[in-house]
Amino acid sequence: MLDLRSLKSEIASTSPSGTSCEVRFQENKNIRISMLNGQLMVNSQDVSRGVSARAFTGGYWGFSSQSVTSLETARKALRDARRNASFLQQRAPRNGGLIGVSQTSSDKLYASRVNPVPSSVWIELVKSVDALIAKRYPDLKARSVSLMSLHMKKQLVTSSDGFLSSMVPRSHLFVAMTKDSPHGPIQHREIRGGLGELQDLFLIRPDSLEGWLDEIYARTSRKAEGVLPEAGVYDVILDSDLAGVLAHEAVGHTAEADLVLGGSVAGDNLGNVVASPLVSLVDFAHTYRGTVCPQPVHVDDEGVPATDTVIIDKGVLKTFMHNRETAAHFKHKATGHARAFTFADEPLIRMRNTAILPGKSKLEEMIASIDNGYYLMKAGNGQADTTGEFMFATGTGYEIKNGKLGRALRDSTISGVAFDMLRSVSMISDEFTWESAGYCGKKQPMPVGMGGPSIKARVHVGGR
Amino acid sequence: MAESTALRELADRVLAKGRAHGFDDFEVSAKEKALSEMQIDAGQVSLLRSTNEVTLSLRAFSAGRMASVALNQVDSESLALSFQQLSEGVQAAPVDESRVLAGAQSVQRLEYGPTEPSLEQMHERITSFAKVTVTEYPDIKMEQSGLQFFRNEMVRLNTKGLSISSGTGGYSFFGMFSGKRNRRTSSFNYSGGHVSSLDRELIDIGAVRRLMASSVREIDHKPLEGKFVGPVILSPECFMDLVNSWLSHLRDGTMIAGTSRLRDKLGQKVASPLLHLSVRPADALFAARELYTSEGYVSAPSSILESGVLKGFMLSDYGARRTALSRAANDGGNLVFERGLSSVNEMIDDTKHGLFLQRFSGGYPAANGDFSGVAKNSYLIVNGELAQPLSEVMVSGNLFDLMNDVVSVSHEAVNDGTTEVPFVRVAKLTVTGK
Repeated sequence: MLDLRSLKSEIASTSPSGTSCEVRFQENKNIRISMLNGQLMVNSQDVSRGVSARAFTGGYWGFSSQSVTSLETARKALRDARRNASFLQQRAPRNGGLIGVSQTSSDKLYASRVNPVPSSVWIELVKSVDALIAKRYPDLKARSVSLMSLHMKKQLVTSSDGFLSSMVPRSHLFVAMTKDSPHGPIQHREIRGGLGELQDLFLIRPDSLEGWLDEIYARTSRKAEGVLPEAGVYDVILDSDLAGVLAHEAVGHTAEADLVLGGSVAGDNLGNVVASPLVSLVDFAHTYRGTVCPQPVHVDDEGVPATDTVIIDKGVLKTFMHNRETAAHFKHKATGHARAFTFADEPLIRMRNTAILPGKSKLEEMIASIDNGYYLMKAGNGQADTTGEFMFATGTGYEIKNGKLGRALRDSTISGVAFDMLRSVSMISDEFTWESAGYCGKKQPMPVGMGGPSIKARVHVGGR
Repeated sequence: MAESTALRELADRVLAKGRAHGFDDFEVSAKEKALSEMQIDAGQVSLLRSTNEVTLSLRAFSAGRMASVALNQVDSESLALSFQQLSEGVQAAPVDESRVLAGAQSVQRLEYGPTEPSLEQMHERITSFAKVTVTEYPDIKMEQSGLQFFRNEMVRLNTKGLSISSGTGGYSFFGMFSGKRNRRTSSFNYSGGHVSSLDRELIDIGAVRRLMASSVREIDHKPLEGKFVGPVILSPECFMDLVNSWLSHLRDGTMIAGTSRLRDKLGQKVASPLLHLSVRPADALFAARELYTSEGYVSAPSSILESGVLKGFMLSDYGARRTALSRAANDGGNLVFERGLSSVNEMIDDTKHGLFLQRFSGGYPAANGDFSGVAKNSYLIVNGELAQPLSEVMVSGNLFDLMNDVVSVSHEAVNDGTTEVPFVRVAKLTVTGK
């Protein structure tokens, strides 16, 4: 791997006061194996590797990248980045600065301690799981099994004498089952995996997944016999799997400082009560309760140490998530939220591991407290808005009638206005789970972690 | 412009390695991508970004087994590792005789668009865009927006005789914004598109101007009380979002899985007779064109809907072999809905109580076509007037019903450089307020 440390003194000595720059090497490795009804649809591995540089001069950013990885191309990228910033600077003045960063050094590699195995092992695993599903559940209309992993390896040197070396892998197994129903084909999908390389998580016997597959099949079957929710506003229990998406979509995005500058509703509410006092929401950098989060970030792609960011503390909006430029604009502390997806991408403000903190209620008593509502369990895609209005898809759930679970639900969507919904939170459970397979979309995709307990709140449920 | 000699030499070199490696068949696609981008953050030009990347996509076949790798390094060591991964992948893959490489094509080189960016002109246009927005729409807050120039060169060769290349270039603009006055904010919206030159202001690309004007009005949004089932006018952007989900029932995934709801409908009425949908790749109507399919065939025009009758699927060669149907003549990259006779104003005039849906923020439709989501940037229509911008409104329906329920199609359409889509009015969707 290219070692950029030899560029540190060179970068520092060629960066005049008031300017800043960073040089980054990045390698993303993907493995994708996917079977559909027993046919191998995808069997691919790809590697994207390169160097990039970003320079800040006179209020402007210049960025340049090259897929040829050498110290020479890194130097060229830096020259081009400075030239790009100068191009803009020469045409119009722009105000703006960056918050200072002290010298930082971080070397966090989450690489596996198990030797890599040939890809044939993973193809065999997918084939075996597919065969197991075909044998155990012959009445399925369709089945798909996918194994995917992404390793992101980065090295960063900055003009502030900062150095970062990181390797963060994540791996997931996706299973989807489809059954016929009177309403047409009904699909249900589940995911397992998390932080780690494939050999950390999936050197397993396929039959060890039988219990999990049985549960997916049972949920698919119940969903095929299920109903659409009755559209309207209801008291619902959002299962822990959904609460993380809620934290990310409904609240997190509104508190990203670049979106605040774009008019997000959070900008007018700093220091205000925006949620029930039961609600505390944190974007964790890398560790929660002594355990590494799904997407650990120790130093961000601007060389800023990543710190836990308490966005809502007992109902009060406390701060935004920043890069160096927005931290300077708002005169806040830098929080280490700048991340880039590939070597060719510039760092943007991105959440890391966003979670609502657990409360004291029991899930059972939460369900029992609802006369007419829904228990929603699995999240699909979601979207936030500057107004705070959010939506996300729900893939599994049940009616709640008189405090008891009723019929299963088919796919639906829920929505609400973030701060209104958070004010309606009346119970939070004492459990906590992370959802580790999420990608956030914001110009670039980005792996994120989302977590939380179960929450009782009032939301708008789409449906019939 | 002639193809890149360096890229051709690289592809030749890798093809020779593939042949020497002993695969039954082998394919290489070498691409060089250059990008220049100017970005606006919070209303100000803030970034000039330039990137360069050479990528290789390799596919190998042996005894009916297939594997693929992609890399962006061309040194011997990286290539050797990739061939090792291909060998492992091929050996472990199950036999699938439906995987067949494209052979020689009738057209070996296709190209369009400019080859070099004009950074001065890009700067002039994006600066002007920021200024015009402030002047004409002072209540608009710009979010991250950008103007890109792209140039892509491609050479693709295989052991079946395929030898094609392309060169494509152009500009792409994306503007994202919301209305904000005092403490009130509209939903964000966005628009943009591909253009082959910067001969017009960026605010006139796609639907930027219409949506900015609308966003200002949407600052005064109010929740809808109650629920109704009634007519809905869909903007081109919104209609296309839902149509893309409907089109997935014509493509490989659902067709091969057997979950497509249109699988047995060829030649049958599957949509309103007002809908005519075709694919026009390589058409000068578009600034960004599909020249070759993802499998390497020369893309040709095709018809998907004629008067609501399904005329063709959107299957790849692989999908066609798996389903014993015909390969589509293209990947569906340049879709055109034929314009209708109504004006948008007439559609609104004809609506006594309904919804003008400008953006749909919803979950991916279910396998059976059911969908629900939030009506963003949308209006309540009362007695032929856009009476009230709305918030907290959900819309639900079914894709297959929606396509059949189209009762008028506008003569206005949005061409974003890749597709051309009009407004449509559907007879009924479920609209739910607080």
